[in-house]
Amino acid sequence: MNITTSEENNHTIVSIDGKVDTNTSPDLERTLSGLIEAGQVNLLADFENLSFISSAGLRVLLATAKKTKAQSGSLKVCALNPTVKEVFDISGFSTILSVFPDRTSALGN
Amino acid sequence: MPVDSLHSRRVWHWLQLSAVCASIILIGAGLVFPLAGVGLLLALYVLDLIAWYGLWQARHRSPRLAFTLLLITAPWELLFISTAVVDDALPLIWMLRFTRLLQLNMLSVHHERSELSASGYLKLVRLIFNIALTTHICACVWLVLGLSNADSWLAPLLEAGLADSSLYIRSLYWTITTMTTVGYGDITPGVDAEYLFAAFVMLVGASFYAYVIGNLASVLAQFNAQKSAYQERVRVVANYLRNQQVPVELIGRVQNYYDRRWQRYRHYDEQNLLNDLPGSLSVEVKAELARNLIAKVPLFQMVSLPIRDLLLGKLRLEFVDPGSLVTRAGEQTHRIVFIAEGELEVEYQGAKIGTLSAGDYFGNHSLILQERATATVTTRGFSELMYLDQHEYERIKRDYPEFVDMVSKAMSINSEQMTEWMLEGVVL
Repeated sequence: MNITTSEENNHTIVSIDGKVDTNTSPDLERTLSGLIEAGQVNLLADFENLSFISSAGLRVLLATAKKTKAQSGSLKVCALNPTVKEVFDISGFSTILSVFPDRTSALGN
Repeated sequence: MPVDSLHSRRVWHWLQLSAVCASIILIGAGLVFPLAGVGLLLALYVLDLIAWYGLWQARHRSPRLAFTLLLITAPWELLFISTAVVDDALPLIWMLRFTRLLQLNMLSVHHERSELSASGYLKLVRLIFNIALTTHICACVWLVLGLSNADSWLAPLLEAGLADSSLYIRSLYWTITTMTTVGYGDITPGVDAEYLFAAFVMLVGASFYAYVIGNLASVLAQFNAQKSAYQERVRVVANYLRNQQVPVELIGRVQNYYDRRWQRYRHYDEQNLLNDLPGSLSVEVKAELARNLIAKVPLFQMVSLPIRDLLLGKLRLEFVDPGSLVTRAGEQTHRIVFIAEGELEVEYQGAKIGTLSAGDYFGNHSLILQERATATVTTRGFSELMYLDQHEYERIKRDYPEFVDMVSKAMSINSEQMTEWMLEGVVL
């Protein structure tokens, strides 16, 4: 899994490449927690190149969403592939998190 | 429930009300005071109006039944009194009115599909009713024959000035002594018509014996037939378990489970019953059985009717006893579990973290993430669960891609507790 971060339109964009599973989710958690601690609470997770997410990855997203909300920020998610979208839909994450079809719509919202 | 079935049920209530009230009046006034007054007769006509209203409503649904009941309740006696003085014609009118009692017989036929009849009680009531009605009709004819001839069996009694009710009682007494072949011989025919009728009653009486004995045997055999069959099956299971040296405590639990299941469903194997029915009817019945579930689970209210029916068709129903393991931590689950009734306990890392109740569902996380469950779910009391197996879920998703969106929307309503648990590490 590769994580890259960038800044755009008052958001910190976290692009995730590869799989988020039990082994890689601690890395994602560290990255996201670090950003929040640095005061970057408007996060956008770009999943365009994410091929798989496990319950551990969903937990990281859930915990991050809670933390950002507590600091009046938000965690948005965009560009989910069909497999990941189904996981989000069936597990209820589509309604817990703000999910957008692509980066532009997420930043424009 | 479809409107027409509701309507039909209401119609039956009207008919029952009319039939029972009419019967009370007929039995009370007709048997004890066979020559009762015009007022009661008018009351019967009012009750008939209620019955006719019900028949009018039921004419499309059960035309044959409506027609038969109309024939039974029609005021045929009015045909006979057009030229006669009402007071003189009253005995005849009352006798003809007794055809109304056939309504009761018709209604008992309607109830034959109910459990009451299966238990044999209704059959016994019908048997007694048929005996009483046949005896009464014969007694009435015997009385009419007596009234219409100067040399009849009734002549000495009329001369003695016996009351009308006494005449009827004598007639009834003669009928019973003849039908039961006792034949005291104190009342004998006087004219040809009476001889013929007496011979007829003797023949009827002999056949009646066969009818009564045959029916009694059948009623006794069928008393609680359904429950007996069920208990027999339970006995077979218990005997098998005993032979296999299963602990007594466990056998007790099995018997307890069957007892509760009987109380709940009054049927041995509802799944087979549903499989027996054609597809659409089975779904309709299942929708009725699962009405609690449909009312409580948001998913069922959100999906379109075709998907709801498909879901109901694919759901497996299971009645589960207390303490049953539904999901075990460490196991990969391949089904979504819907709770229709009962309460389930969730245990995570050795601690009880909460409960799930009617309307909740779980298994979707484990199924979609292809991960093993991390929590154990057991039933607290007797529970009714419905399972949607993974391959059925995949099929619905393939045929109706919008299903996933609907699940997503439904999850938002039901997911607060699950979200918290997921944060703690629970996968169900």
